[in-house]
Amino acid sequence: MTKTPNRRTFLKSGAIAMASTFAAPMILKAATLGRGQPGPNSRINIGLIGNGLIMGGHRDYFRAREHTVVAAVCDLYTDRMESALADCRKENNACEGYKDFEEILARTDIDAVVIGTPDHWHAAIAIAAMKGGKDVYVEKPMTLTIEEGKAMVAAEKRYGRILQVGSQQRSENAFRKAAEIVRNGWIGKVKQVHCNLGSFAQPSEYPAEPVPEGFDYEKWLGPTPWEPYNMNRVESNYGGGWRNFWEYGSRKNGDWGAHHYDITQWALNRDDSGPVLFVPKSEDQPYQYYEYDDGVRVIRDWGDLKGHMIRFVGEEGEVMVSRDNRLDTLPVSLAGKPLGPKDTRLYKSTDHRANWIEGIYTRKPTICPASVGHRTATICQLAGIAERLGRTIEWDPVTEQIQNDPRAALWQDRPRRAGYELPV
Amino acid sequence: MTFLKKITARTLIAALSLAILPVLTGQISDADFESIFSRLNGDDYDARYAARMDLQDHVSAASAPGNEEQQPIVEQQLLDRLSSEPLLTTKLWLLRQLGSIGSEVSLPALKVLLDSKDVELAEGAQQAIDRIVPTVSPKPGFFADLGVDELEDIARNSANRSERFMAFSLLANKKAKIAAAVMAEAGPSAPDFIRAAMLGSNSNLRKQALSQLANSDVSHQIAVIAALDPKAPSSVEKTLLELLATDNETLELQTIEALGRIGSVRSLDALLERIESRSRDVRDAAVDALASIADQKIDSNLRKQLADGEKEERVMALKALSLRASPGVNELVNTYAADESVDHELREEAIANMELVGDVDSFPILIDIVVNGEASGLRRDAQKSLKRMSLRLADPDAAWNAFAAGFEASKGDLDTQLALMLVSDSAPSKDAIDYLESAWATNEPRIQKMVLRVLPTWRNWDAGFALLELAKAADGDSELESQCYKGVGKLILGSDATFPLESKFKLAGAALEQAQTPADRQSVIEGFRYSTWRERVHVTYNEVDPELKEAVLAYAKN
Repeated sequence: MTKTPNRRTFLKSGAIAMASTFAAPMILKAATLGRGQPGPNSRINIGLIGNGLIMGGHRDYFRAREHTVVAAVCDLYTDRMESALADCRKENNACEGYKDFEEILARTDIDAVVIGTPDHWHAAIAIAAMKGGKDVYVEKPMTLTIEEGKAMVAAEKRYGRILQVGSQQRSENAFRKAAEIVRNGWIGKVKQVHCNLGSFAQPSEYPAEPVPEGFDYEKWLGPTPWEPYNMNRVESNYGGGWRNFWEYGSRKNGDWGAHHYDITQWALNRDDSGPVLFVPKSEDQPYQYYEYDDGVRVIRDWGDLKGHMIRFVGEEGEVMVSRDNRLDTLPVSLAGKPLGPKDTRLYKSTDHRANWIEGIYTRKPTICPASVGHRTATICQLAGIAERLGRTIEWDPVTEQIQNDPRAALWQDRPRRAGYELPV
Repeated sequence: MTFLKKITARTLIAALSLAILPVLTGQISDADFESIFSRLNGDDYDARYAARMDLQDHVSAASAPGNEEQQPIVEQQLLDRLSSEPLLTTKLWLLRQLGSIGSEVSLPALKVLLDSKDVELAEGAQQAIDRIVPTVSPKPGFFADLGVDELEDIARNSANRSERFMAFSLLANKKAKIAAAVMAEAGPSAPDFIRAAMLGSNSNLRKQALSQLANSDVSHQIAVIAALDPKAPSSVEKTLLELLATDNETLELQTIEALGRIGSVRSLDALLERIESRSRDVRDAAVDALASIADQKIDSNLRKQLADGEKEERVMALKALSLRASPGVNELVNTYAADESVDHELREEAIANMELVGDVDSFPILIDIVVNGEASGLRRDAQKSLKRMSLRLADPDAAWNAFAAGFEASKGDLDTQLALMLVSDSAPSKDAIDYLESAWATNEPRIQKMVLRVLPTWRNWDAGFALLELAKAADGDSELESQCYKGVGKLILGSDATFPLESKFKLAGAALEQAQTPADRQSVIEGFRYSTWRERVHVTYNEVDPELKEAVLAYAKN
């Protein structure tokens, strides 16, 4: 039986939330762009690209907000696109459906897009969207390759767009509080961090199947190497599907790593930097890990996580944190210790999507812009490269280059099929 | 000449590289190679994938630093195999491996494949070539060659926001005066331009952007406010304070937030006014801003106000100090809360602020007020703060120590004991459960009623198992048993992710096994009516009561 008290409600609305704030996330009021009720032009027209598993939540959210109108939906499956369109037309009868995202980007009345495709399409669509003048919400991990990440960061800056990466744990109070505890040195010097990513089963080559009618498989593959169609390869499934394949993601490194490594970066104040060493499982330890230049080691799926997703171990204490606002500390008093006037306060957002909308109006960077998303995705990708190659990877976070291993360095990028080049 | 004399150094190296080194450094042995390709061409698709990974592992090993001599050997092995493989998927996998380890030696064979009638094969060859001989596409100049007039035209008239932004940014560097005019007359792109100007290097343009604070268009104003940094001139704070008079709540909220970033003690009064605003958004924003301002003069001003001000000012000062978690404020609230001689309102505020800044030393003070404070009218305040503060402090043992002392001090005073029991979930320790169970055993009806009231609000599963014990001891009193099972259901219903899931089902399982009537079983099962995917997954993959499983699946679906 447990002795863990219930603090969820408290963390959500109580003293910790109030005492650990920096920049209040303001859900913009109806009169945002004028003195009075907003006219149609003051609402943000949104296009939803990729209406599979993960887009459902986004669709419901943006359909229901006073500041947003879902003006277009897009999917490579005709039936999915039509289903999403039917949903969105309940609020906006003028919503249009497309198979090709390029048609959404060509519309000058679309202000912003949400990208919920598999990882291998994130960068190309996001850059094209920013080039087309759209603000972007892109699912995590932001990119498939390190070089794509660099291009995304450059595009965000060049085009002056507002981009939010869907690493929504940054907008949960418990994760922010955990990061603030670490940042303020309340657990002393951090020695190691444990992250629970889990694992996927090995996929199969899968026999070729007929491509279902109404599905543009050729475009789904996009820049990735051609493979014969099989439903198991393309399906949206938290337990596998395309997430299982190196071709379309970084497996668990990109799936949960994009969340937990992101919080680790934030807590360790490494958002503009990164680790220096990536070691695959069984190289010199029975677990996969990476290390920063100060020796802090981040360990995947090993050690006692004490029932949590992330555990920070410091010389003077510990912080354990999970979704649903679960936060535990050693000593226990740290969790409830309020931040004082001199303490470091982190960017506060309590609604990841609203933070993006606020950014679109104010042009203030989001809590997870491309620069941050890129550094986190880089970790996911380097951990994946080390796992794939079965050897330690040295990384220079300043020059952003793999060191002393030219063949491994090739994996910073991946060759793209003709016709699917990365836009600039 | 003997045989040995014929062996030159060169011959030796060749022999080593072909025969010995493969084993040591990664050249693919014939046996491995045949195993891989027999699987790649087999009908077992899982085995095919495993063979892909095996080949990739060999290639990776050969491509590791220090194995440079092996790379051409493995490259040649792959090339030799490329033309003879029957399956397209195998050829494509070979091409991908060549992309990882190949050199210019592979190019002739790859170029031949570019003309293949098989489009996928030609694409695969091209991708391998692209990796062996990377090509860098020239980056466009992004308007760098355009003149001022052209940039102005694009910044004003392009249908594409990004083009307008890029043109404006270049224009700002070339002709700030024109850029300022464009910014002033800009429509939907004004916020983009304002931010670029605010963060740019041209001070005149920044000044122009700052002047947009006086613009009547809120979208301009909030763009300026969002771009303000702590180095903004002090006059900006004054302007922001004037903007707070707006009737546009978004502007007010954004302004308050900016005061948190750049404000000083000068913002104190304006923020104090708003921490009790009727608008929750304004109130929360003001609280956040007040807590965020680094200027320590705020703390000294508030302490002075607390010491010398009128009663209302003192109450507000204590509240503000607590919101800022100002150093030493925990001692202040403890002192005021414990002091029966201070104004009632100030003491009330001190008790309330324990939720924010109270510490373990606050527990005995609050317990003392519950025990002795009925006459002062502060008992309820203390009970409320006990509940809330203990959620933050999460130290059930420290809390129980205070409760135990309170129960001891109030022996014989049933009303006070009940007042303590009512909030004993603030100390959710095993000792507290033991105490409640022994109190239950006195058979005092009011105590039993209170125990049945507080256990379902407990903050861990201990109370659920305690309720089952009480049901067991009810000795056939069906009404009492029914209340215990209802209590278990309520506890489950009110639990959240901080309650371990496994224990939830352990408790439910025990309760369902023990329950004697369908109604009691239903009371427990209804505790699952807010089931999510977590419960659904648990009942799917674990053995649970069939009726509970069916109910959870139905609840989770709905």
